[in-house]
Amino acid sequence: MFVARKHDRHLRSAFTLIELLVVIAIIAILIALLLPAVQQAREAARRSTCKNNMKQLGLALHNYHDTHRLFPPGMIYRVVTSSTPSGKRTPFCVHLLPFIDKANVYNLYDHNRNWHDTVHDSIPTGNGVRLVPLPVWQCPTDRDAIWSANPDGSIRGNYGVNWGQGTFGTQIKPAPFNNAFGARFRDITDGSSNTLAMMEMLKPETSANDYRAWIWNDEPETVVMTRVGPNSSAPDLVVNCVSEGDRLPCTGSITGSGRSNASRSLHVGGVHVLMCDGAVRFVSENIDLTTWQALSSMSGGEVIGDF
Amino acid sequence: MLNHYRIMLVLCSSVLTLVGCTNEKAFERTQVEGVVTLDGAPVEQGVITFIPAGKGATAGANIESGKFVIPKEKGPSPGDYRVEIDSSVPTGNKILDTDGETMVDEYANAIPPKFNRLTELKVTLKNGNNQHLFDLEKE
Repeated sequence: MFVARKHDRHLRSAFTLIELLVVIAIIAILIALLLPAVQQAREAARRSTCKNNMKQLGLALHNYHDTHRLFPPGMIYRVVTSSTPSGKRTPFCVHLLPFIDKANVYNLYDHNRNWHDTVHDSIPTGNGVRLVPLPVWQCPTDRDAIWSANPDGSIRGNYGVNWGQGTFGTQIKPAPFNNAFGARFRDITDGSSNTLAMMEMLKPETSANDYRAWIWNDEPETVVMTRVGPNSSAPDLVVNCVSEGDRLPCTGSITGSGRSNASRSLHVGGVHVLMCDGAVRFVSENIDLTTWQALSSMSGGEVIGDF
Repeated sequence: MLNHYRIMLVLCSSVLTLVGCTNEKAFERTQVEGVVTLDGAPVEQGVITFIPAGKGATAGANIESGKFVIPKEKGPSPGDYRVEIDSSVPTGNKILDTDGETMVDEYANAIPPKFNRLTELKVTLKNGNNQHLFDLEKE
């Protein structure tokens, strides 16, 4: 009788091995469901910062337009004037500096010289301002901004202006930014909500000799074209190519105006774009190329569907 | 005990249903490979780009020793495509590098514009493995 009672109590007060295993299995399943969600939440936070930074640049563009009655020039690429017979060279980002709370940096920049004339100066003299980090130009999903291989270092960024549907030399249809040209709102007859202002681009590795995303330069690799769709496997046409497999496909040795780069990002499924009205949208990499190209022209008169 | 197994069954099936949700609007893709020659000789170094005439994915690959391969997962979609082919060769001249100090080789496109920016090359891609020979003539 004593034995039987003990046996009874044992049954009620303890777990069997199977019960324990089932509980562990359920907990394991719950963790397996939760962990990817946590990782996705981190990426969602980074994506949100990325989007916000682009929005800031959109506001800066609008403030620039309010002040100067036109958008800043896409860049000044070897523009020959009487005072600069060898060609004037100014990166795009310089013009926006006063509008992204970097007026102090802007004041250090010597507009009478080319950006590289003083590349051997150290911070912050002369155009050594190219080493000042520009956090608003960085998408946290991508890697660090410093380019170490460039002899004196430089800064890369993730947002490039819309340079049309072709190559650096041929936009095919006019885009809001061109060499020594920034559009006025009245030039954007397709509507500022239907025209791209900036697109995302990816930074090459810190030490890689590749000009893409090098915002402190006036090279064609620092702007974005819609010749091919976003995140395409089609290689970019660049002068110095460090391709890193699928991440930044490219072909090198393209000099002069034949260069062309696609919009790329590490976000799953697409890229962020800034429209001329200041809106930031997420565009799927499965967008129709016709729509994508229609978005990059400012006066093409295309009818654009949903995207 | 039977209850435990039921709970397990429900959990497992819900996990499987969740995994089943994917993006169904993605482009259909296909594999392309082939050979590119210019005036009979294989194009040593270059790039080939497939640009959709209608709906579809843009895709491309580097050309090495006249050959290119675009695997299915990064490939173009079945349908009509324009093809652009580029290959840079040194002109023998030197130009200023971006730093404004060093001199570097100047390059030019060896392929005439009618095969790249103003391309006349058109292909229709099908499902499965596509094989194409691009025999380019300068004249």
